[in-house]
Amino acid sequence: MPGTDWAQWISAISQLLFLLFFVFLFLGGNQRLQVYMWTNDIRAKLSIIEGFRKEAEKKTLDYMLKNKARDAKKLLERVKLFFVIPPVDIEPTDIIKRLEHLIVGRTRTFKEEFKRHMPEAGDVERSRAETAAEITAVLDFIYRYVRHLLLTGIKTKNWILIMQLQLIMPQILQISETYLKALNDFLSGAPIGDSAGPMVALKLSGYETKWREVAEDTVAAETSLEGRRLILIKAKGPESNVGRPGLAAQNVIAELEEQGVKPSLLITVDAALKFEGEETGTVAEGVGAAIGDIGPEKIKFERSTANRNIPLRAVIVKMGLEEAILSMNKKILESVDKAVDTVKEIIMRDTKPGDTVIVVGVGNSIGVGQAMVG
Amino acid sequence: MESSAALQAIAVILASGLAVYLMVKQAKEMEEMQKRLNTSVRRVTVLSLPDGKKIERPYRDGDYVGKKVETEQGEAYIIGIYAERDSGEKKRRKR
Repeated sequence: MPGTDWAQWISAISQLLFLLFFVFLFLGGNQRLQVYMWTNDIRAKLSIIEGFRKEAEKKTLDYMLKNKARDAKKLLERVKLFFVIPPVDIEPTDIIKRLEHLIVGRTRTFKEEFKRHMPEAGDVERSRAETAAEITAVLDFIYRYVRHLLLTGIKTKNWILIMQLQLIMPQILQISETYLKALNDFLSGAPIGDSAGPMVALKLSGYETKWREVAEDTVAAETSLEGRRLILIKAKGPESNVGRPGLAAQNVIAELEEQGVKPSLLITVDAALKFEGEETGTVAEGVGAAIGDIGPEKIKFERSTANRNIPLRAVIVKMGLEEAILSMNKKILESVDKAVDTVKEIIMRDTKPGDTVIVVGVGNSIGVGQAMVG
Repeated sequence: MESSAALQAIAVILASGLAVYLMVKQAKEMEEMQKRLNTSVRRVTVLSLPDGKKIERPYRDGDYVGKKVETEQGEAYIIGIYAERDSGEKKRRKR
């Protein structure tokens, strides 16, 4: 019976393979195989991030060259590798001052460098190029850091590190994708989700009110609302710029003090991250400084109001991270009007005619301009 | 004997099929992501006319909120700019 012989052979070979498979498992082969698969998956996703990085670099360089930048490639390379060493935090005395010194130093260095390399471009174009270069630097950093973790994991045979990296790769990929989309949106010059705060300030001022510079890249305007004196602050637009809202508020309060006026209320308006499942564009109010700053600007709001006993209120427009850095969608634009109404309600409820109120629209002023004095 | 060999062969085929399915699934995910990146964005400028009416027109380079522009109905202010992404993108963001 030749058929039976074949069946016996197949059975014997498959049993031998099964036995070998178990030996393979006992020697940890399954883990090696798994790590091999994870590594390949990370490599595949890393190559996509590398593609994003190259695309961002190309788009940024094209934009800079279109605006007659000199040594654009060299400047971009410098921005990509630029770093800030965090201040010593085991000695907290003056840490905010030291942090502010570093942040301001970084911002000014970038600004001066772009001015030097793009002398013929306008402020708006230069600020867009600067933001595009920063996004390129972020994508470059993500790529280099993920590659570092992968190579370290392989080199040290750290399977846990590779496993963790593989598990988090979809999220890293999504964040990278968002940054690349944000680059396109910033180069378009239209407002982003984070521009909700400056837009609220502009809407409260009315479009004909004249603004003046009160701090670096930050402007203020004066108007009135049912007998209340309203001082509005926002980053200078339509450049891509967040300004220095805390310093501006501090300066305005000092100016008012010189006039013998104490503000009755300070309201900060900003875009804030929503929880997953929450509705985009929800407007909420609370107490404190609504600002996504790591410290120096936020503390200026807190100190200048706490020292003078000025109530500090916050109004937030909720949105996702992606919505905050991409071009503003219709839902967020509609919520700007709701935020304006909320600010007005707070002013009417908590102040009386004759009072002075400061409203600060915190956020990036890209695509949100203003009429300047003179 | 013959049936056990057949079962083992089926198991091998199923395992290979699963591996191929997972690879195809991953490739599809990558393709979807590429598609998402290529989604078109339509930007719209909202204008407030002197009579208080609001009109919309396609976004033009140089438009910004607060800018005074000339329209057929007279001077108007840009009071908003928003972006609309295509439906595939919207669905994904909703998820």
